[in-house]
Amino acid sequence: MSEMRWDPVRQEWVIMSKQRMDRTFLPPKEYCPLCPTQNRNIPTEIPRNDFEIVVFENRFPSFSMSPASPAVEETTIYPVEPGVGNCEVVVYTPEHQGSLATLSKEKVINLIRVWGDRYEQLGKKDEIKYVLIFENRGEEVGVTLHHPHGQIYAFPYIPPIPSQELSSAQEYRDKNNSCLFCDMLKTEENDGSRVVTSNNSFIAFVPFYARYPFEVHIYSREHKVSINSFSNTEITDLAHILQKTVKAYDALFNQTFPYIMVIHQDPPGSLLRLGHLHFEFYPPLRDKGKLKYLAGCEQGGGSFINDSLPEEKAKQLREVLAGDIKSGD
Amino acid sequence: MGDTNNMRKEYITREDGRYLIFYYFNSDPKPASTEDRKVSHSKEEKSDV
Repeated sequence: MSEMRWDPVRQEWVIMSKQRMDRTFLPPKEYCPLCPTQNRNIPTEIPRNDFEIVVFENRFPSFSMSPASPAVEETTIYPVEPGVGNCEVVVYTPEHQGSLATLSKEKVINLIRVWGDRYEQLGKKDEIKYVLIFENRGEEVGVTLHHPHGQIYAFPYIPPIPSQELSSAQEYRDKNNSCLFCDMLKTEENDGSRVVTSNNSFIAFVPFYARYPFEVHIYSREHKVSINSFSNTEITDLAHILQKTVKAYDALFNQTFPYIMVIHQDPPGSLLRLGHLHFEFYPPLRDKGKLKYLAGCEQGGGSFINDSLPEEKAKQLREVLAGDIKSGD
Repeated sequence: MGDTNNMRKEYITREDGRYLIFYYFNSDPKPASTEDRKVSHSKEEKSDV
């Protein structure tokens, strides 16, 4: 089942998907469902091993193109809708070990192209209003499978955070006749204190308003609205800066750094060109071995408290890049 | 989306109706193997995907 229940208080949808309670939880490596099937008696999700990247429908989806009827009848105060949409898993490699940081650059370039293809294909469906591409990394953020992979949720609505971003961009454009995100980039580049790294096409920085100590956003320098807007050179630059960012994270405390990575871009088919493609990384660690929990103020009040200064954390990440990564990148 | 000339996809459907899309960039898909017999193959994505 997959149904959406309307919260009239916060005015947002909440997804009910009780089958997800049964999803595979931290299996041993030999039973990894994202590895290609090696033993017919232990079939996995992937029946062959000659692929480079594979995408498949999540076995435990939050949305489905043909969901069962909701478990409850809606009322005037409590609207209910079937959870129409798609949930996909993107397996980066047949190899069980690895990450965005350790894949070859060519592989990451191909992954970006796969993200673009899924954005385009899923976005063609009338029911789909937003395509959210993301990766959860590390048990600290709830990862249940360690095989290198990400996910794609094709929503029947624009979820609250991208929706708020787009509304802010519209308001800013109406007031200033320019792009909010482009102007933020100019500010970041002029200031420089929060920039972690950059190249000809992208800038990675700790936001002025970072909620997490090591939060990093990667923006395209040009106003590109979606993952499909990039040239070959820009895709190569994107692969480079993505890997550099994750390598910096991993070098920070000499561990596989947990994070949530999301891509924000235009809703498919939007003619407004309000979105400005960017990646957002939310790492839960505030220091080595110390997690930032979303507690009373964040969960109950909706206000984040950052136990650090973005300028200091950006400097720390720059120093890691300068000192610990000696790959010539 | 840059140059996608070298991107090839093979779309297959499982017995339970869920799809898989295999992506190839540097090689062509191999012919269907014994392991694949339980799934149907298509070169193109179905319209309902």
